[in-house]
Amino acid sequence: MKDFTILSMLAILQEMLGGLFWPAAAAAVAVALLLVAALVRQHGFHGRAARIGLAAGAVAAAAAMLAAPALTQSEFANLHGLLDWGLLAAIGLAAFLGCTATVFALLGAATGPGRRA
Amino acid sequence: MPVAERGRISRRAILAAAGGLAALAVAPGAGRGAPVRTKARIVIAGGGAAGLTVASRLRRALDGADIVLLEPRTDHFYQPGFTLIGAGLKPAGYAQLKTADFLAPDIRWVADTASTFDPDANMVVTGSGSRLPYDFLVVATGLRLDYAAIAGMDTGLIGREGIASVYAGPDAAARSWDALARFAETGGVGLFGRPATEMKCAGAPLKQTFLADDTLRRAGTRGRSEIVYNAHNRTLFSVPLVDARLRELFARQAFSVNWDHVLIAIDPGRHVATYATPSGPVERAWDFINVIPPMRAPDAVRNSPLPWQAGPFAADGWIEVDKATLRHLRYPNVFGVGDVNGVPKGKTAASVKWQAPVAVDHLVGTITGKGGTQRYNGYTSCPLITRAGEAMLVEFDYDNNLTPSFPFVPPLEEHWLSWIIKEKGLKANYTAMLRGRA
Repeated sequence: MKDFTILSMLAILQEMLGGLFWPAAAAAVAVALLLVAALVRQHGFHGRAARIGLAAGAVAAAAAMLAAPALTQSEFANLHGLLDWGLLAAIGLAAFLGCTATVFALLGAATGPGRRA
Repeated sequence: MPVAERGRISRRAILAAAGGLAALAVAPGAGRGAPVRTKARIVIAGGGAAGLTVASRLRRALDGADIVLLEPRTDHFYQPGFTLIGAGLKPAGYAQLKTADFLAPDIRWVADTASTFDPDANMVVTGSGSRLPYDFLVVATGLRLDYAAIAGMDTGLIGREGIASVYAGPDAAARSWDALARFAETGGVGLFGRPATEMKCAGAPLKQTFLADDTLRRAGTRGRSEIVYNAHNRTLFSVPLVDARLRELFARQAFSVNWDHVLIAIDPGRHVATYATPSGPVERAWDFINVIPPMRAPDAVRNSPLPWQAGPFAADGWIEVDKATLRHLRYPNVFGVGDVNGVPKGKTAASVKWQAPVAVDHLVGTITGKGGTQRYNGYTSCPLITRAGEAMLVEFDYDNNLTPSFPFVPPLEEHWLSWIIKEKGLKANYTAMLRGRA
C-alpha cells in the first residue's frame, strides 16, 4: 500500500464516494462552520442542544456498530481480538462524534444561549 | 492562544481554533516537481491496470510529450473483484469499468492491438498495420490465459458441468458462482488447484478454495463434501511463512491435498480431470472443478526480441527487465510494468501500484539525463480471504519478507479488518491508482 499520503487518502475517499464526495465535503464544511457558531452562541458545549446531541450520538454509535458487519457482508463471528473489536469501537466513536457534533451544531446555532449546568 | 476561562471556552479561543483548522485544510501538500518539458514520443502497449496507471503518471510528470496508449478494449476490468463475484459476494457489474473514464484527453488512445514489437527499429506495429514509432516504449500488455493448454477446456463451458473459472472475466466469474451455488446445494467432490506457470494473483486459487468451503458450510452441505486441492508442486504458496500458515488452515478446514498435480485435461461429460504427476497421468472425478489456465506472455511479446532468452522466464515469454528498475536489459528505452514482466514476483494489481512509479521515474530520469532513483523491491499484496468476512493481509517482497503496510495488522492472522480493507477499500485504491493519484 505504497504512498498513503493525505492526498492519496483523499483521492481514495473520493473514489469511494464518487459523485457524493463534493456534496459530502461541502456538508462537512457547513457543519464545521455551524459547530463554531454553536459553540460561540452556547458559550461552549452546553445546554439542551448538547444534551440532545449526546443522545443522538449515542443512538448513532449503537446503530453504526450493529450495522457495520452486515454492511460489509460479514457477521459478528468474524471479529477476532482487539484489532477487530477496536475497529468496531472506532466506527461507533466516529458515528457518535459525527452525529453529536452535527446535531449540536444545527440546534446550537439556531437557538439561544444555553443555561449553565 | 487565549487561555480557556474556568468552565467555559472563550469566543476568541473558538474562533482562533477554527481559523487554524481552515488554514490546515487549504495548506499545500507535499509539492510535486515541475513537469519535465519534452517532445518525447512514448508508446504504452496495453491499457489495463499497468498501462492506465503509467499513462496517468507520465502525463503528470511530462509537459509536451506525445503519449500513445495502445489498447483495443473499451471495457476495463477490476480483476481483483473476480474472486468476490465468483463467490457470489458481488455482482458481475462490480468489476466492469470503462477505459475512457481513466484516460486523460491529452493521451492519444489507439484502439488497436500490438501485433509486432520491433525494439531494434523503435517501432510497434498495430493489428491494423499502423506503425507507431517511439522514443520510449512501456510494455504493459498483461498476459494471456492459455485455456487451450488444457485439453477439453473451453471458456464456453464455464458455469456448466460444475466448471468454474473466474479469470476469464466478470461474466465468467458470475457463471462460476452459479456453478458453485449449484454444487453447494448437493455437495460432492470439489477440485481446486493452480497452473504450473507464472500466474497473476497466486493467492486467488487458495481464496477460491476457502470461499467454496465457506459456501458449502453456509449451505449445510460441507459434511457430505470433499474439498481437494491439487497443488502444482510441493507448496501451497511460494512464500515459506505463508505456506506454513496455509498448511495449518488447510488442516483446520479439512482440505485434502495432492502434491505435484498439474491439470492437463478435462472431460466435461464424464466430470473427470486429468493431472500430470511425477508418476504419470492421474484422473480425478469432480462434482465441481475450479479451472485456472496456464498463463503466458501475449503472442506479440513472445514473438518479439523482448522476452528473456534463457532462464526460468524464457519459456513463457516474460520480458527481460531489471527487477529493480523495470528497464529492459537489452533495450534501455523500453520498460515493462505489470504481469508481462519476467521478474520473480509481482503479478498483482498492488504490484502495479509500486512498479508504475519506478518505471516512470527511470523513464523521466532518462529524458532529463539525471537518471532514476526509485527501485521496485518485488512488493506483492495478496488479501487471502479465508471465509466471507475474514482475510489475512499478506504482503511480501522479492526476498519473501513479509512487508505489512499496516504494522498493527498481523499478516498471518484472519481478521475482519483485513476483510474490510479488501471488500471496501481496495477497489477505490485501485481506481485512484489508475488516475495516478494513489
